[in-house]
Amino acid sequence: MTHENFEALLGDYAEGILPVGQMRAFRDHLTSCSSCAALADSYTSALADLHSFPRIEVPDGFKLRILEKTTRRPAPWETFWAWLGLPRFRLTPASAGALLSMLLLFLAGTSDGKRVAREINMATHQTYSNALRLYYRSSDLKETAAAMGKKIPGRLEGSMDWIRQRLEKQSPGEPRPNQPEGSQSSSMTPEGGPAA
Amino acid sequence: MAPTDNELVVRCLQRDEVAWQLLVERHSRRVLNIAYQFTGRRDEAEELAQEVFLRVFRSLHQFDLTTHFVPWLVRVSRNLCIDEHRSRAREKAALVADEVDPERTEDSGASPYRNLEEKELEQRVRRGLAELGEELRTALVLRDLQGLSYSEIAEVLHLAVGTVKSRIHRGRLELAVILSKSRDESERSWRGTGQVEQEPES
Ligand SMILES: [Zn+2]
Repeated sequence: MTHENFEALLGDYAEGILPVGQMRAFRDHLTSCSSCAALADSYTSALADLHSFPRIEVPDGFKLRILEKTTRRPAPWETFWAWLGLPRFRLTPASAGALLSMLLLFLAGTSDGKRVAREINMATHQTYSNALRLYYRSSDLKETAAAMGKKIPGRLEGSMDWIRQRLEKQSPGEPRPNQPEGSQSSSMTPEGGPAA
Repeated sequence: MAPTDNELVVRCLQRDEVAWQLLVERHSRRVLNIAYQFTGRRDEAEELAQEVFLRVFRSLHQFDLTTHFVPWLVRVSRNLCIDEHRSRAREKAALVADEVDPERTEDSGASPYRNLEEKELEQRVRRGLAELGEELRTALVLRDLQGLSYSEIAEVLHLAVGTVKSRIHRGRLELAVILSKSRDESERSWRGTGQVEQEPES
């Protein structure tokens, strides 16, 4: 085997795909020719260096960020704010709940207010459970939905209970506001949502 | 059986979001590492990879379904990385990896080194690759850093497989000479002066 032949076969040899028929002649030249042995040595170590080049792993949330930029549908409360023409303000379900609670407090002082409060109370529950269900359906948002889902029911229930107590204290004769809380709350927990 | 990339693309074009999620999941690591080879920084690579997926998403309808997805994806990724770097006028700098200076290795955008040896290896390989001509370098990077098959590389570069094979082989031969020279030099500088610093290559 000539030096040129050896050099031409070096790539296949280094990749481990040199045909068996050529292997013997290649090996013979490798052991007898010191310059080709040196070449084979530097070739294989260059290849090893290339293969050891550091690789980075996909960081957490990377896929989610891509999906946010591409296929993500805005959440209902986001389109609501966009529709109002407000700057890109992200209203989380928790802060939306707080806002609504404040509104209810204003209304709680009047007798008409109590009726309205009950309506809003129920509508809020309905809206949030629907919004969350929509969220769950989009599997790319599952993580976000799960995180939010854990927080919302508790906070919302908390605010509602507090308002309800106030309302009941003010007018003991008034019937208890009708609340679909039990079933609604459980359907809002992450485990209750339909799988992606 | 898992759907092929091309099947997923067809589904994406029918607005199937799950198909798009699968494509992103399947190819995130590849795109991220192509970007990393250009930027030398993890945070910039991530940003760039996001851009790549955005471009891929918008140009999926341009993908020729009679060809293979990976070579197309790699081509889109590389083109965007090259454009970005040209626009920042530092393509050369990134390839030479003077970017990877010791002061920057501690921050969150630093490279994924497990140890000093790995960091030195990256710098050595980047410098070596920068000394190759563009044709050889591109073929070599696609094969030995990005792990594409010869036929995939042929598709990326619109070349015959034979040409690709010979470019890769020549690239490796040249790189072997460059790297063994740089190893010799660094060994000499260790022995000669007792300094740890590597001599900058011209
Ligand atoms: Zn020889």
